[in-house]
Amino acid sequence: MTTGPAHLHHRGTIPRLGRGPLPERPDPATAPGRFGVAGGPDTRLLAGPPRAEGPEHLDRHLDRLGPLQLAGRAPGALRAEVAASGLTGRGGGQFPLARKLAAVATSAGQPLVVVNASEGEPASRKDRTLLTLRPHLVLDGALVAARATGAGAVVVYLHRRHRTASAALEAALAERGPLPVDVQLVDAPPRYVAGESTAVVNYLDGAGALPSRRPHPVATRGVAGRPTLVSNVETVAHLALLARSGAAWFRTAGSAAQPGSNLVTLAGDVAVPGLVAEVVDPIPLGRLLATVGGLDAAPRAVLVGGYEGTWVDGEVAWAMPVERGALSAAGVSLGCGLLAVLGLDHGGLATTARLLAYLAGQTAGQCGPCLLGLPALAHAFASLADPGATRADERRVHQLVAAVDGRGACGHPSGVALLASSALETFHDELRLRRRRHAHPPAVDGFPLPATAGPRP
Amino acid sequence: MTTPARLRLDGAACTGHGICALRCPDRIALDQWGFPHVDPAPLTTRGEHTRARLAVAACPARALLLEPTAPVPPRRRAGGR
Repeated sequence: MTTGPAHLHHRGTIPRLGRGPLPERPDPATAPGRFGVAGGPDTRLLAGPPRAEGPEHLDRHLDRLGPLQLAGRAPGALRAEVAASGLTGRGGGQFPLARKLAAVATSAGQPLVVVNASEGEPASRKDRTLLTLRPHLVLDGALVAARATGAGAVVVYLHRRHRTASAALEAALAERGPLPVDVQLVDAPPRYVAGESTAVVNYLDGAGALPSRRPHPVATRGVAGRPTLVSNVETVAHLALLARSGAAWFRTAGSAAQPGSNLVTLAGDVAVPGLVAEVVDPIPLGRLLATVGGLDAAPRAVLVGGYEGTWVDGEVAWAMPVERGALSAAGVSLGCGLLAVLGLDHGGLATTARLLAYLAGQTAGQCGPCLLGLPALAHAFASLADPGATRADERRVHQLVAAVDGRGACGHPSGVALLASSALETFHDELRLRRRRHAHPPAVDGFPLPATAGPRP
Repeated sequence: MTTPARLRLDGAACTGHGICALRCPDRIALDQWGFPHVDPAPLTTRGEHTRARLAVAACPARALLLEPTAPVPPRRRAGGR
C-alpha cells in the first residue's frame, strides 16, 4: 500500500459527482516532517555532534546552547513553564511531569531528584544513547529539576555495565567541577522491573529493587520518606532545553495533546538494530523505517512501546504516526519509544513465545498471579507457535491472559497480557496456518534477550 | 451509617491463604492458583461492609485493606511513576 500509481488507491465505486477527485493518499515513506539521528539538523535532544564523535564536551555544549541560567529563576516559575509545555514522562508512563514536580515541591521534607537511566527494556537504547552522547544536557536537566523542586541532591540511577554511558556521565561531571547540588551515581540491578519508580525508591532505601504498592506516591513520600522525583533521563534532558527556550518553543514539536520531540529505538529486522532517532513532527512510521531503518515496504508487524507493548500489523504500522497522543487514542502506547520490527519472513507467534518466556523469568516473584501465571502463559503460548496447535490451546492462552491481566503490585503482568493478546490479534493468520500443521517461520534473532537475571538483588 | 469504602489488595503481600474469599464471597473470588480477585467497586450494603471487614481481619498476611472512597485531594494523587 506504499508504492504504485495513485489510482490504485482510488478503488471506490461510488461516484463523487461535483466533489472533484479524491484527495491524493500520501505515501507514508515520503511524508514531510522533521526527525533525525544524532547530529541531524532536525533534532533537539540529539542536535550537536554526530554519533561517531562520542560524548559532547562541555565547551561544545556551551557554544551550542549557551549557559543554563537558573540563578534568577523562581522554582514556581520553572514549574509553571513545565506545566505550559505539556511535557510528559518518556520512560513509558506518560505522566504529566508538572504534576510530579508540584507534588514533590509542595510535600513535607527535603526533596530528592532521581534521574532514571536504568533502561530495563532489553531492546531499548535511547536512554544510554542520550547519556553517552549528550551527558551535559542530562546534567543541565537534572539541575533544572532540582531547582524546580527545591532538591539539594540528585541521584542518577543507571547500569554500570553500560560502560560508555556511565563513563560519559562521569567525565561530564569531572568537566563541570563543583555543582550547586550533590550528584551521585547509583548502579541499578539487572532486572526488567528494576526501573519501575517504586522499585527505584525501594532500592535507594536499601531494599531490593522490587515494585511495591505504597500507601503514598513516591512524589510525596519516597526515598527515606522524602518527596522524590523519579523521572526518566529523556524527560529530564527535555528540561534542559525547555528552561532555555521556553514552553512555546517546546510545543512546536509533537502534537497539541503530547507536545515535544520523542526519542525512539529501532530494533529487530532493521538495518541497524539499536539505532536511536528523534522524532520532532508526528511523521508516519513508514517514513522513519524507510529513511533510517533500511526498509522499502511495510514489514510483517511492529512491536510498539516495549516488550510489554502492542503488536501492530505492518501495513497499519507503516502509515501510523509516531506520536504519543494519536497512538494513545488508538489504544497503543509509545511507551519507552521502542519500535521493534518483525520482517516478512519471520514468525510473530514464535517471536512472541520467546519474549513471553523471557518476561516470565523477569517476575519479581512477589505476587502469586505473576509468579505462577506468567510461566503458565508463556508455556501455553509456546504450544501455539508449534504446528498442529488447536483451538483449545488458543482458548487456554486467552484464559491465562485474562487471569494475569491487572493482577499484582506493578504493571508487569498486565504488560505481558498486552503482548500476548495483541499477538493473538495481529498474528491470527499464522494461528490458522498452525492449525493446518504448516511449518512455522522462525523467531527473530534481532530481538535481544539478555540472560535471565540471577537471584533477587 | 458506614463510611464509603472499597476493598484493596496488596498483591505483593498476599500469600494466597484464601480465607478472604470464604469471609466475603460476594466481593472476592479465588483464581486458579488460589490467589484472590478483589472487586474494587465501592461497597454498597451494610452486609457487604461487615463481610469485607471480616475478610480484612482474617487475612494472615495483612494484605487486604479497606480503603475510604472519599475524594482524595489532587496533590496526593500526583506522581506514582
